[in-house]
Amino acid sequence: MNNIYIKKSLLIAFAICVSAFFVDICKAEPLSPTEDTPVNISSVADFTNMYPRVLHTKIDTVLANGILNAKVFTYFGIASYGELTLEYKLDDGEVIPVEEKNIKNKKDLYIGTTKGDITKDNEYIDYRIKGTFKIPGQDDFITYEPADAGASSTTFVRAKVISKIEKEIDGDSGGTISVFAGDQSKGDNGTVIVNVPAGAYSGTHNIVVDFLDESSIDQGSASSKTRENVISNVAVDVEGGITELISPIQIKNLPLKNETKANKFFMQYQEGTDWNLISNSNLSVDKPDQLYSFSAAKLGHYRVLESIILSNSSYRPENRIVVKAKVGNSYPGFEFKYLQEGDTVKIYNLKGKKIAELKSGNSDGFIWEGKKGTDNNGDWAESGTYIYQIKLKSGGDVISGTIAFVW
Amino acid sequence: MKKILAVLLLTIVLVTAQKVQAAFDDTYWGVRALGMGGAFTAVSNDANAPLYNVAGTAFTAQNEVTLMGSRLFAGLEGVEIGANYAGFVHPIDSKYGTISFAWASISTPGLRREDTFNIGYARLLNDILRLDSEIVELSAGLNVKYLMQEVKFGENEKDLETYKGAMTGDIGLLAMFSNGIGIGYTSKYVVPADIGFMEKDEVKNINVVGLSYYNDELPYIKIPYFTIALDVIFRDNESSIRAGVESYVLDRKLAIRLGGREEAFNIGFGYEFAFANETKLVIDYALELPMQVEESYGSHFFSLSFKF
Repeated sequence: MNNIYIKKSLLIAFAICVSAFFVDICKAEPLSPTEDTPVNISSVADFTNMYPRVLHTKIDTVLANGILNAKVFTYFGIASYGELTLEYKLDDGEVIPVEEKNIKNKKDLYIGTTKGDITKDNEYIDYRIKGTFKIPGQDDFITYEPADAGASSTTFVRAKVISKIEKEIDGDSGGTISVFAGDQSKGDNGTVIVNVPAGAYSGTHNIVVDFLDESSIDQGSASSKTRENVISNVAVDVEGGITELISPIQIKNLPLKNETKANKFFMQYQEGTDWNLISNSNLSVDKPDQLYSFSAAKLGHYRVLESIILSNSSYRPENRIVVKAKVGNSYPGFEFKYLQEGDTVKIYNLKGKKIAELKSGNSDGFIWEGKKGTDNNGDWAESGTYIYQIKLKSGGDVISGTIAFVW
Repeated sequence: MKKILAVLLLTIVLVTAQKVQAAFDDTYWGVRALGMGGAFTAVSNDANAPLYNVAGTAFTAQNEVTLMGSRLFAGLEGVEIGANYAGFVHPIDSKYGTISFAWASISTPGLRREDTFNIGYARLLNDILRLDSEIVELSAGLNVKYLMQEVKFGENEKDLETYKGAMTGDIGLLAMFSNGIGIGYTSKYVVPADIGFMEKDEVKNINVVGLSYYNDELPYIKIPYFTIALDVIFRDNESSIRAGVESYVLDRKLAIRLGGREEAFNIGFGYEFAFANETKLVIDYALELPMQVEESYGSHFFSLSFKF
């Protein structure tokens, strides 16, 4: 019983450089087999997220029992390794190609890549990684450049790295996994704690806490008055065929995936294809630190929903005056938030004549750029004061207000 | 004669029509005009005339001042728009014509407002053109006006000016035939006025042709002191129509008006109190019901006019 076999998985952040300039120096190679009881640290750079947020696993805090074995998940579905450049940049500025092992000051960390891990042709293929990223550390970060930024662009965006935590724990005696997974861009190195209380289950099993890929998860329903969004996903699973927990596992300080202004949060549990609300999860959300904690009473997939209780004013544009001036490649316009397909916004001039209508937008809502016609397809509207009327598909009030568009 | 005049007016419209950019419109000035749906170009004969057709001020017989207040699109939470108008007409005599002053403003507190400051002059042309007053009276007028736009910019646009203004002018013609037919024409903002903050933004030229017919008693249906009017407005590449009717009852004390345009239906009333020495006080009210904007109780306009 005391012979506890430990297997941890942590996320080590990596990004990948794909640049024509570096094609000839891409020298990534598969991982070497490691010791008998390795601690596996896996890293996934979540390139779908444009938030300047870095969630690192600080590897030197992991209670490694032996040599750490790092895997790099490039998320470059059809890219071949010959096109990639991987570098590890030390704090002193020295850049070391990833094939180099035994990187100084990082214990016995092996850096490498396994071609076999890069098999998915997923949505991240559109992103070119160009530049340097580092093995997770106190000051490490990953940058990447969106595919539409242009070949000569020097604009990089910090990538978010999410953690996967894995460790074998004896359920009779309990155990804890602690992993740094804070937001380093904010100077925060929050600790994710997975606490298995004594007697949670029988025997030794591999506990895995993993962030699910959001694209694989049903994003849930939404109503017009209460808009819900999936803000974070976590899967809790135990290998070895256990289906029930005797007492719940506590998972603390998981980072929210997106900044939230929600005023209510829900925990859901996946059963088949359905997500069902659970009330005994002890869900708590620390909005200032963007962290949440909950109890898993059974194994499976969990997710957090944020819910913003909307009033009429929630839909109104915060900026009531827009000057016809281009910002970047677009016109900022008036943002009508939280609107969804089926909702409409009509714009009237002061004669009471409808001059524009919005029927669609993006995930944040509808935007009126100041153009006539439907969905900004017409000519520019004149300078003037305009009345907007928002109509929700669910019925209810017509929400009216005034805005000014000037040249 | 009528055909020649009509062809002349249409020619002027086509020649002066031009595509320029900008704000300022002329929808909400003068309660009497609003009761008739704004169809006033060929009716203009009081203190509401300066902004509709300055040539009409030449037909005023005595001094007149009018003050108007309003609440637009009442009933809409979050919408607070007011239009105000003040007009003064002073007929000097048949030789020197009539001068007028007007101020019009439409504003949304904390957001944006438009102000128009207007000085006008008009005169009957019969003596110059040797026209027979038994057949027609023809007048012409000119406005000089200053347009001002004020916007309460936020922090993002703090470097922009708060005000932007420019000078421009109007011209107008009005022919009133003895058989009751009136034909009016006005071209507004004939001089480009740039009111843009970031880009050139010239106020759009407006051309209006108006027709009216007046009869002390409308034949067949016996409506007393009846006026029917129609305005065709050309602005940029668009045209629109305003139409209205007016009748006076109770010994010409009470006016009843109806009108409309594509976006609204109008109804109005006016009552005149007569005092000694031809002094008169007129109270007018107009309601405009929008046809497209939803859930509004309409726009309400009140005015007090004093004739002396």
